[in-house]
Amino acid sequence: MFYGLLAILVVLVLIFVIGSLPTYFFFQHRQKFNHSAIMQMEFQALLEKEKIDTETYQKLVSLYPLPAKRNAVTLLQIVYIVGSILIGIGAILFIASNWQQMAGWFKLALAAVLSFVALLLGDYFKQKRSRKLPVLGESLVLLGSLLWGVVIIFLFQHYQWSVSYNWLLVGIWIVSLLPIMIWMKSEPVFYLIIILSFIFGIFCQNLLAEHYWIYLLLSIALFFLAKGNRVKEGIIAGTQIAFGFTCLEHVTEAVTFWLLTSLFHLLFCILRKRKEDLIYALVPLILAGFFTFLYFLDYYQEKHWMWMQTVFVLLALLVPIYLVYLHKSIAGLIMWLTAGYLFLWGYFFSRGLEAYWGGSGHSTYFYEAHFGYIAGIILLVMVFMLVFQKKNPFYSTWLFMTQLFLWIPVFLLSTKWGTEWGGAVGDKYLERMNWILVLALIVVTFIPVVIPILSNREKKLKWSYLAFTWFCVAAIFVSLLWWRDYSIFVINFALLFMIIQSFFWSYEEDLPALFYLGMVALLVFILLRYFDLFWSMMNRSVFFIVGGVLLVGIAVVIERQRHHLDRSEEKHENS
Amino acid sequence: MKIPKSIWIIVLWILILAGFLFYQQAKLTNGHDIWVKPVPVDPRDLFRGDYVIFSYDFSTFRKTALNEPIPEGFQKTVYAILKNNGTSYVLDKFSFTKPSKESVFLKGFSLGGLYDGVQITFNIESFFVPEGTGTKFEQAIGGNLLVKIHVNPNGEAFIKETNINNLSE
Repeated sequence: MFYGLLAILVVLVLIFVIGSLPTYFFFQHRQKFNHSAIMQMEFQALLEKEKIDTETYQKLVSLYPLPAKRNAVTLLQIVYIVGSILIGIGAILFIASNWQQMAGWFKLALAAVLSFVALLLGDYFKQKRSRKLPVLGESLVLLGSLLWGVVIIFLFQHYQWSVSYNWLLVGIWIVSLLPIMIWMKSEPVFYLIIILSFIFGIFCQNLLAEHYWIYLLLSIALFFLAKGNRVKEGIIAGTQIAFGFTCLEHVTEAVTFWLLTSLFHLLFCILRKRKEDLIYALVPLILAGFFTFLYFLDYYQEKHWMWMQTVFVLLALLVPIYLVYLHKSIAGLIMWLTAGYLFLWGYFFSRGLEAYWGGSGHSTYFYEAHFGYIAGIILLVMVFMLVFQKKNPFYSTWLFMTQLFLWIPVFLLSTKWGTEWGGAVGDKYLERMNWILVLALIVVTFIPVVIPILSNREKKLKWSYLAFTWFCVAAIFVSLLWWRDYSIFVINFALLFMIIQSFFWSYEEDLPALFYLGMVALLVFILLRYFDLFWSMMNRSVFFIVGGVLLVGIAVVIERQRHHLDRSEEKHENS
Repeated sequence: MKIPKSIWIIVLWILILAGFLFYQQAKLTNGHDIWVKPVPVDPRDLFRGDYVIFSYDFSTFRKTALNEPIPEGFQKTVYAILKNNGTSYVLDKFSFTKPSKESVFLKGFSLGGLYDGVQITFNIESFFVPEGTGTKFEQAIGGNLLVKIHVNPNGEAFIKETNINNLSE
């Protein structure tokens, strides 16, 4: 008991120190990341040197308005939302454990009261009069919505409603959340409704025996609820297209679904006169065409998973071509290479497990399909990143990609599963991972060196950062070869150092994208280590709730810190 | 004073909660309890955890248990009329018309239509159990496991309890 508490305390302190360092660093120097702020400073300097007059200065400044700390809020939102989701999962697992020592009415009252309190507090913190913690308010509203779901789940469990009524359970949950989305304008709850809607679709499918058109109806309804927000629409469209894959057991249904989806988006594009959205019509159309072709070739039944993986990658290659067309930039080439990298990565992984494509065992399906999906998710994230950062410079995008390439294999090696996997398959896995790491290191080394030369970039690469990266990867190799017993520690520390280094690198090189990647990597790192350490030690529901409370607690500390910094900055500016 | 929107949402949630509890209570106040014999399987639900799937002798539609012609058109509702065999209730016959209130019957559905061998749903097929205890039910297969269900006058039913603890004692 004592050691358990001590371990929690140590982890809490570690998370606090690790989490606060980059955040504090970022908030202290955030004007460095702000392009408009830099431009305004330049104009100020020109004005002081009397190169421009006051009128010109004001005109120039109006062209570069300050974005009002929007990015900082987004970073905090990630930590808060992950924390809230963990607490919600913990609460659902607690109800699912059907613990008989606690009376049913008490469980119901506890969940209901907690959901009401979370919603009320969330609403309070969101109000203008209490702007100290607005992001906490948003996450508490999400938590209240999740806990309300727990109340409904409990009712259906307690009164022994058959599992065939899960559609009703999720349906009631969605309807209860609609007022929050519409009246309180809660974005996280909107995304929760998207997820629940597709889960609702799955349960309705079971009920109505493979009626896939439900997904289409749901996504059309969600599209109208999105009220023209591009990001929301993109997420809905991506989910909608991905759900077409769930129909693949019945290929004709899947093709019909994609054709209708395509038609819907085509009409939307024409009505809105927004050619960018044509991608949502193109992707399902290509999928429908390809699977129809396979169906007629009668090839589908035997090797469809292999083809699915290949098609996914081919489609990933079409997206960058389209982006090249849209933005007339090099972004498409980067996307293409990313897709190629992920494709090869999945291929090596399959070979490492002796899971060859075509005609192999059932387990192959699992790995191949999941790698396809992971590749797709990463690519979609990048599409959004590139679409919303049209001015993303050549060099920073490359640097972003190289770090991503390097961290994926190190992350996989950093798990217990990665280094402790024994036997011939484990050795093969390690061998493949090492090769991927070498490949990534070559990319990391050469790309940032070559690209500045090609792009005539004035600022040259910071060699010290590159040398440190080499040192970390070398330490990983040495530990794997000679200190196998300690390699798990070396890999973890090397990964942590590389992530922290990325914050300094992003600051020095003025690369916000790299900073955000580092933040996400740090969050994933903390979550993975939390899983490693406590999964077997704690009850699953307690495990999730404690993890969620820790994250929300850290986020509150960070948000308060940010608030103080904002206040002191304002005072400084006023004085 | 302006009432916050969250209060209105909580009022709506309380109404939903009260409505559900009221509906459940209304189902309980009418009707009676009977014991039936199940065949359990032990899976896990995404939200509600471990549960046992119960199948009964009246879960499969059979034309041989029908004393009347199948009506024309698409049929999805059927009534299972039960009889007491001393220890529990078992299938007597199926019927497409609602039986009289004197007989014990359950209202079942098959959304894909009714044909020989199709599974019928009565909303008494799942029983949620404490985590890790589902195997007890599997071990009770072929034994004297019984399920107490509450049936209202419309033939709607839900599970109240099982005799699993008495069996293990």
